[in-house]
Amino acid sequence: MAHGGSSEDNPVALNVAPMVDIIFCLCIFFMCSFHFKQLEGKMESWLPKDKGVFGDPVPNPILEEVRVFMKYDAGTGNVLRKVNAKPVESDTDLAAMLVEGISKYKSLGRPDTPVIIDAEPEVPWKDVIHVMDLCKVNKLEKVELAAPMPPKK
Amino acid sequence: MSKHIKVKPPDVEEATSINLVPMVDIMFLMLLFFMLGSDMGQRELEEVTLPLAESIKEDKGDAPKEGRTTINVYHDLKRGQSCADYDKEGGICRNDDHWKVGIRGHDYNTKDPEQLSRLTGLLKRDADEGKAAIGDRVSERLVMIRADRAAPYGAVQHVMNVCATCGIYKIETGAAAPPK
Repeated sequence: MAHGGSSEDNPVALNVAPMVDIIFCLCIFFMCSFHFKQLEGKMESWLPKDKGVFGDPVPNPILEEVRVFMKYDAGTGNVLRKVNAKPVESDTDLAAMLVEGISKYKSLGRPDTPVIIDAEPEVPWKDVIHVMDLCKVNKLEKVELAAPMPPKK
Repeated sequence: MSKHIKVKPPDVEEATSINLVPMVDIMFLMLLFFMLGSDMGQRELEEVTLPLAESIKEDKGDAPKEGRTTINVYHDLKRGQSCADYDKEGGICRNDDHWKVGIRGHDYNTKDPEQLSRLTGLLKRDADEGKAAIGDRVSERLVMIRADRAAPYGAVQHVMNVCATCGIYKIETGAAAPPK
């Protein structure tokens, strides 16, 4: 005992065995239910301030654009990707086509031309993020997500 | 002369020791009960498997002064339901009823007009907190969308649309770093 006393001096005898049992139960409970925290990050995908659902209509719509179409094939589970109606298979080809498309606009003095991702609602989110990620990795910072068609009245 | 006989007084000292063991047992059981039954209703982060991306920035979780709203898009089943299509390894489920939009522990189904209007009302209130002046159209409120990697893009698009109608434009999307 502390202060040099013996255990016989303490009138309140504490049986620690049940406490130890319960603490072990708690340990097992927490060990079984413990999840390692996944390292999370974020990607900025800010919406345009003056365009979109509440903005005014674009006065002179740009007809040429770098647009990635994405369509989910439920049968095979694959996502079909097209850049301006041209099918793309690999990520390398997709990145090359996007970089080439944007560099053309840059050479014409329009550096703000965005890559527009136009995906169908069934496309898995990971594939959309993957295309966004490809753009960011290849220094294509201006990425826009196409808005859904408004419901027909 | 009387004879005095010394009589030893009876031992009347009561035993005052307290047995603490049952109290400790009960306290630990109560602790366990409250830990398991505590209200998780206000939790911000639902369990989602985030998509992988190389170009992510580290999320320190610190909110700006305008505040931050975390929106989870995740696969959730009602009690007794099961889904053979979805799994965390990449199985794709396209049943709209299984995908929920969760904010601060409350679920919303964006296909249900009533729930959608409640979600819009909630985001409008959050957006108002981030507006510089009453009546401003654009809010500086930050919204983090944590969508499961298998979530349909349409569900995320729906959430972004609601944010846009509320005047929120600062959207961040959650992603995880690929394993090295």
